[in-house]
This record gives sequence, C-alpha cells and structure tokens, in this order.
Amino acid sequence: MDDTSTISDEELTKIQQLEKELEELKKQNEEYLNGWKRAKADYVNFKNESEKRRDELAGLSMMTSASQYIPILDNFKKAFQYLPGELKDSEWVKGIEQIYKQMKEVIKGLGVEEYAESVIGTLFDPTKHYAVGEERLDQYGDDIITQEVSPGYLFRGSVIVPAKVIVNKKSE
Amino acid sequence: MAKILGIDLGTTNSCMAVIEAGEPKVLENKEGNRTTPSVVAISKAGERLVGLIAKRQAVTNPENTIYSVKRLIGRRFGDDEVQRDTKLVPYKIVQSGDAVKVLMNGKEYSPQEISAMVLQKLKADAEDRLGEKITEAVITVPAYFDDTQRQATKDAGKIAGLDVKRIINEPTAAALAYGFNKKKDEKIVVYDLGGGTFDVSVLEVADDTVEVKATNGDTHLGGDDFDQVIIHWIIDEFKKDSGIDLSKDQLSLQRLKEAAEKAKHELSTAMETEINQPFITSDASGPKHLVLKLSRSKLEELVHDLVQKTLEPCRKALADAGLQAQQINEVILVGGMTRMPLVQQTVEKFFGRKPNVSVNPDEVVAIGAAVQAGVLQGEVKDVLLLDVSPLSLGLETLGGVMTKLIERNTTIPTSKSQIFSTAADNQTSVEVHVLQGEREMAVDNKTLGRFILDGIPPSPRGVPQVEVTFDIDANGILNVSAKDKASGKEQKITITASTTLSKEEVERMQKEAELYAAEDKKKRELIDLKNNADSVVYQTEKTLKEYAEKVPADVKTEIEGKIEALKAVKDGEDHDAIRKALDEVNQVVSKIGSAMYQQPGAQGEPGVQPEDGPHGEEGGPKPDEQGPIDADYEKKD
Repeated sequence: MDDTSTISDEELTKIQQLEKELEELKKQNEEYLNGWKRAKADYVNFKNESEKRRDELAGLSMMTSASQYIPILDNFKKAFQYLPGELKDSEWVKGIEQIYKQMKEVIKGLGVEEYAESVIGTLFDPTKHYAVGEERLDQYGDDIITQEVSPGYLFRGSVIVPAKVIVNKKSE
Repeated sequence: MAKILGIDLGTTNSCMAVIEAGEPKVLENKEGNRTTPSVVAISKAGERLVGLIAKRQAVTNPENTIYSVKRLIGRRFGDDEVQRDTKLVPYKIVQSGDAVKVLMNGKEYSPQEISAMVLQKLKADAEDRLGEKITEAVITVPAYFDDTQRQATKDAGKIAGLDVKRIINEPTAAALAYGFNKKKDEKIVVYDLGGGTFDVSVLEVADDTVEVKATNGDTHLGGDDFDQVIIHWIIDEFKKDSGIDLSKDQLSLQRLKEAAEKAKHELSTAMETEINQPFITSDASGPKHLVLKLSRSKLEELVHDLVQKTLEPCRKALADAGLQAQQINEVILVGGMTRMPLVQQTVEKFFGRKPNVSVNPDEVVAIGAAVQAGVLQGEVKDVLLLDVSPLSLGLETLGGVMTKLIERNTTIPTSKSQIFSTAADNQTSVEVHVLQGEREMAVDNKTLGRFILDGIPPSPRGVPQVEVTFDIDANGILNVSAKDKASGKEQKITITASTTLSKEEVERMQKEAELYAAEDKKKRELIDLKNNADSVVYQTEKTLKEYAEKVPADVKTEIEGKIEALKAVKDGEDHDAIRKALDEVNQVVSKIGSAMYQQPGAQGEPGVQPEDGPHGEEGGPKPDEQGPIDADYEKKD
C-alpha cells in the first residue's frame, strides 16, 4: 500500500480546500502588508513634506510681512529724489534720512533688501527687471536701462520684486 | 503610481493641480506662484522665455512675445476671431495654408507649439515640486472649443511630452471641483469672468455625466477692462485737482496701474480705500502727490456697465438651453473678477440664488482637472477606511476635572501617553477614572471604566511618576494602562465600547459641550487656580522648613502671613480672592532666595531649588512654571 492510497477523497477535498484558503490568506496577507507599508511610507513622506512646507511657510510669511514695507521704502526713495536743493543740508532732513536708513535695516533683518547695484546703464534682464516702458536716447545702447521706475528687491538672495525699468530702444 | 497633472491652460494665466492623498492640490511653479502667465517669448539672445519672465520683457520685445495664443489655437486664418486679433496684438500672425502661425524672432510657430512651451514649463515645474516624472495630463478647454481646437490642444500636450488622457470643458471642471457631478438631474451655471475673457455655460448633470447645454460669452471682456476704468477715473480726478495729465507720463501710469489693481482688490473686502501715491509727478512748482479716496459704491458706479454687459450672454445661454433662471440649481463663480461683491450680487440677483464661491476662483478649473485626473488614475479608490474617535478620551484629575489624552476627531488606531503624579505626600495608590466627552468637569462626561494602581512607594506629592497610556486599536477598542515608573507596577483596563456610541449620543454630547463651554471653562479655571494655590502653599512651606535657619525671621513671618491668607481663601469659590492671595505669596516668596544669596558663602550652597519637587524655581513655586506633571490625581485614602 503506498502513501497516497491512505488519503480518502474526503480528505483530499479538505486538503485542496485548505490549500485554496491558504493561497487566499497569503494573498490577503500580502495585500495587507503592502497596505501597511504604503501607509507607513505615506506617513514618512507626509512628515517630510510637512516639515519642508513649514520651513517654506515660515519664510513665506516673513517675506509677506516684509514686502508690505516695500512701497514705503520706494516712496522714501522717491521723496529724496525730489529733495529741493536748499534743504539738502537741513538737519531736519538728515534726521528723516536716518529714519529711512533705520527702516531699511529693519527690513534687511527680515531678509529683504534692495538691489545693491544701480540698474541704470545695465543691460535689461527679465529675471531681475520688469520693463514698463521704452525710450530712445542716443547716449545708451540698445536694451540698456535708462530709468528706474521703482527699485528691485531680493529676499534671501532671490528676486521677490523685480526693478521696474524703462529700456532704451535704438533699433526699430 | 505616476500622477496625472490637471492643467487649466488659460488665455492669460495657467494653473496646475494634482491629487495627493485623495485631495486635489494646486502646485506652485518654480517662481513660487500658483498661476503662470501664458506668455512665451524669444529674447534677443535667442533664449526661450516662458511665464512671468516672458511677461516682464513684453514691453521691450513686443513683436517676439506671444500671449493669448489660446485665441488662435485650432483656428483657420480666415476666422473672424483671428482677423480681429491680427489687428490687436503686436506680434505677427501669419497664414500657413488654411492654418495660423505666429512669428517669433523670424521663425514661424504654430499656436500648438507656443502652448506646448507653456505646458512644458508647467510639466517641468510640477516634476520639480513632486520629485517624480509627469507623463500624463488632463487639460481643460472652453466649452465652445470645436473638435479642431480640442485636437490642437491635445497636440500641444503631445509636443510638450504629455500624454493627454482627456480634454475636459472648463465649466465641467469647475463643477467637478465642487463635486456637483454627483448631483443627479441638476442644472448648473458656471459664470467665468477672468482676466481677459468672459464665459457662461449651462450644464446638466445626469447619471454621473456632465453635459454642456449651452454656452455664451464675450471674448474681450475681463479684469483688465475693470482696471482701465479705475485708471481713467484716477487720471481724471488728478487732472481736475492739479491740471496735470498723468496719461502722458509712462512712469506715473505704471504706478497708477498697480494702484488701481490694489484698490480694486481692497474694495472686495473694504468699503473704502485710499489711493496714496506720493511724488506721483512734478511740475515747475515742485512735486505733486496723489491722494484719493475711492469708495466701493463709487467703484460700483464706475464698473456698473461692465458688469451689466455679462448679463446678456447669460440670458442667451439660458435661452439656448431652454431654461428659466429659476430652474438653475447651482451657480459657480470662476475667475478672479468674481471676487468683486458687485459681480456676486449681480449674479445672485439674476439667477435668484447665492453663487458658490468657496473654491478659489482662480484655481477651481485646475482643481477640477485634477479631480478628473484622480478618477482616471483611480487614486480615489479607498482601500482602507480609517475611523476617528468621535469624542475626546481622558481621565479625571485633581479637582474633578477631565484631562484629555486623545482629542476628538483623532484618526484611529492611535496611542498617547502622559506622566501624572500624586496629589498628597505618601500617597500609595491612584485611581484612574477613564472618561469620554467634551465637558471640562469629569462628572459631566461619560465614565468608561475605572481601576486602581497601588503599591506606589511612599514619597512626597508630585514625585511619583505614573505613566498613563491610552491606546485605541483599529476596531475602536480602548486599552488604558497605568505604570508606576519607580516600582514597575502596572494596571490596565480594556474598554470595548469606546467608539460604539450612537450618532445621536455623540451629537448630544457635542452639543452639550458647546452649550456649557463658557460655564465649564470658568469652573475649570477656578479648579486650576485652586490646584495651583494648593501646590504653592505646599511648596513654599516645604522650602521654608528646609531653609529655616537661613531665612531671616522677618521674611519668614511675612511669608507665613501670606500663606495663611492664601490658605484661608483657597478652598472657597472666590476666584479673585484666591488669585490675589496667590499673587501675594508669589511676590514675597522670592525673598527667600534673595535673603539667602545675601549671606556669605551663598555660592557654595546647594541652591534653593528643591531637588525633590517638580515645581518651582528661584526659591519657590510659581503658578506658570509647573514641571512635567500636568495634573495630579486626587488622593486615594
């Protein structure tokens, strides 16, 4: 009598059933394990993303609050451009100039600063400048900035407000 | 699985979104903006510029800067729209067979190629943001686009390296963003007033499909027209005032443009705004300043005609759909201009119902495209549904208050631990009273169970460290355990009914919590104050005893007097009296420290901070400087 003959049909069916069940459970097990792994991975990714996002937001909120002062700085600058000659040496004006400087320092502390170099006479570059007009002046070459309408600002080294400029057009 | 990008390829601006963790999310471009100007240019140096950078140089390079190419895509050169644009735009539109091409830096490009450049930038920026390759997209087009225009848009995607899984209508995308595709047999109007175009569409939802019944609009009406009206008003007012015409001065004009846009935005929320532009110009008499007040009603008077102009297309669209305004079930607003209260009121009056504005009108179409993308990629399929704990879970602490460990709406399974301590000297057991509910006082919440942890080695109050852990498994079964860290003794309880409250019961408990919130808060504050007073009395007496010889008699008498005063009121109900007495003790208690430091050799002393107590620094406990122990158990006798 060999081994197989000891298994009855009933037992065979049972074994087949159990094998099928095992197969299903294995499949289910794998599905669950994958789901679990995915959930864990999702969580880790979400955590990393949130941390990154938080830093970004912190920077963004700082930039947003600092940007609110930019128009005031622009107007200060404009005011000094219009300074009447007879007031140039006035102590009172010097005081106001100091306040302007103080304000620039505060905003610099928040990471925002005006372009260090004057844009006039430089070649127009759309990554730093925003052309709002053109004019035709002989002393400048083509695409050279002739006037600064409002200054440009950097936040931690990258442009947040491009300098608004008038560009020279020599060629037709 | 790779993500499918949802793209709103707009006439003026484009926007993109994806589905992340089942929710649509707008992606920022490389410059950090949520929308990208649909502008392409070739610089003098032959460099290709797309988006904001292209826009910045448009004035100085107009003939090589292509914008609004959407008006040309898929059209024939002979079309009225194309002929009209030929006269309006500074770049060259040329004929190429039947079709249209634009000239940029001497080279001809099809509108598809130009749109592809915008799509390419969006694709690259999205890949940058997501850190994965994007190869598939859903792109939206106006409902009135014909087959050729749709095919051309699809081709643009292909040129940009995107497999366009579907082209969907912009109004349909807006409806998807609001989830209105589930509303059977509803009629929806989408009112889209953007930067340069106005579209109105009537949709009908049936069996999960959204059908466009009619569409109408004005291809040259948008936010820019509103800005122009304001600019003209400012110029006129300034002229009346100073006699100077700012329209001739391009420097001033630029500032006015920004000021007008700012005023328009501000008047969407404020009733009045001030346009303040110092040193706007100058004449022989010196600098001139512009200060103008603009009220919302004045603005509404100025733009009244523009808003009214949108109603005729609405009327026509309704008529084409064979519907009356009152048959419309939902109205959706799209486009930045719809933030203007007058626009919203006009739409509401016309359709007789409040329009939907909760999704950002600049982003709603892109969000809808992402929703469609999500359906296609099958992400919305939820394999695992996670439950939440419907009410807060916590335990009773000193004074009969409930200290929450797991806040309501926390996703389960979850676990939370906190260290507690004893409330009296030599207390050897604590009772853990497990509670469920939102009320401040233990007695007002539901008791889930209680158990006692004993065998805590006798020590001064606040010293033992009992770690209590609440753990809810995925089936809502709550396990609470308490372990004394010194002896290692542990007790636990399993509560099976923590999440099986009926919906009504949960709602009742939440409602009660809201109803009694103020009253409960007051009670809780009083108890917190009493607990605080109690601990200050204990700590100060202990410190005085410990350093009895070093504290001058007069200081000692003064402090004792204040302590007695606090003791007299601390068990009463008078909040202010306890607060006052407590503050007085806190004020005099620092004298212990200063008295001791004044003594010779004080530096060599062990210091005034009691090593064995959780509270206090600088010679005494302060109400706001409690140690790691958040709440004390009530004493078990």
